[in-house]
Amino acid sequence: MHHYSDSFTDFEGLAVCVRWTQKVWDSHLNKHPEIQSPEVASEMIRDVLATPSLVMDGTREGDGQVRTRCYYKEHKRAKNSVYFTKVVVGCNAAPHYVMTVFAQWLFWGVLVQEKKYPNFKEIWRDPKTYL
Amino acid sequence: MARSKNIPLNISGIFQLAQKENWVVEYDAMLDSFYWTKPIISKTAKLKKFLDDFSLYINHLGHIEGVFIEYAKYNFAAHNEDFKVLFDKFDQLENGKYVISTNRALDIQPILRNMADRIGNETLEAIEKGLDLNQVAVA
Repeated sequence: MHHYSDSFTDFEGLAVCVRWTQKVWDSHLNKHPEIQSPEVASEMIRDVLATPSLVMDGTREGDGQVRTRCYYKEHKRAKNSVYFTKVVVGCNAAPHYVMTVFAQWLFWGVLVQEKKYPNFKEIWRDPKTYL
Repeated sequence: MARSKNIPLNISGIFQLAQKENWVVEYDAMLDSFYWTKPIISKTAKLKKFLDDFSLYINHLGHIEGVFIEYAKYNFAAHNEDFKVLFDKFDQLENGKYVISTNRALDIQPILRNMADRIGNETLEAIEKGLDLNQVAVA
């Protein structure tokens, strides 16, 4: 039984679902209180997947198979920082499934984590984004 | 910490703060994410990343409530020998979540102190390069 479930479509028309048990929801809510409620979490996910600023595919070493896709949506910038939402989607099942969603401030000079790793490849980028 | 300075946000006191507030350590294997946080993170806390590997939870009062590391075991620890042993100490809970059992809590304190020191030192380096912690606090 899933406490939080919903369906989405990403910017390429791919189906993505979220199916979290109560325990998974509670754990995410404690770690990322900005998701607030299933309704708010769905709004965040829908927005990021539909109109991302940056999308990166993460592949498994060896077979090169895409395991995760990270969607970022830049919301606003301050003097030296950018505020974004990140959605990590698992790609080893159909439909793809949301593994986590959270918001974060990133300060100038620091990269989003995936850019540090060679097994992640940028597949989409809004030219206007800082990310 | 090798160097000490009066840093806003009490970044130099993370280890002591964690002990005082009984922060908990958790590893999410599905996401390869490491958390060292207050048991209940405030609703006003936001994740802020101004260092290469560490994000901090900072609440609306500028109080630090935790540390978050993405790709913790297979990238961060894999490239930082001092932290590898931490991931041998976890016990599986369920749903890919790992925690530290009570009888191992003392074992990991030196590793956590090392992590806190590293956050402090890297913050000092970032300040020297122009980071303004007051702007981090108010973002």
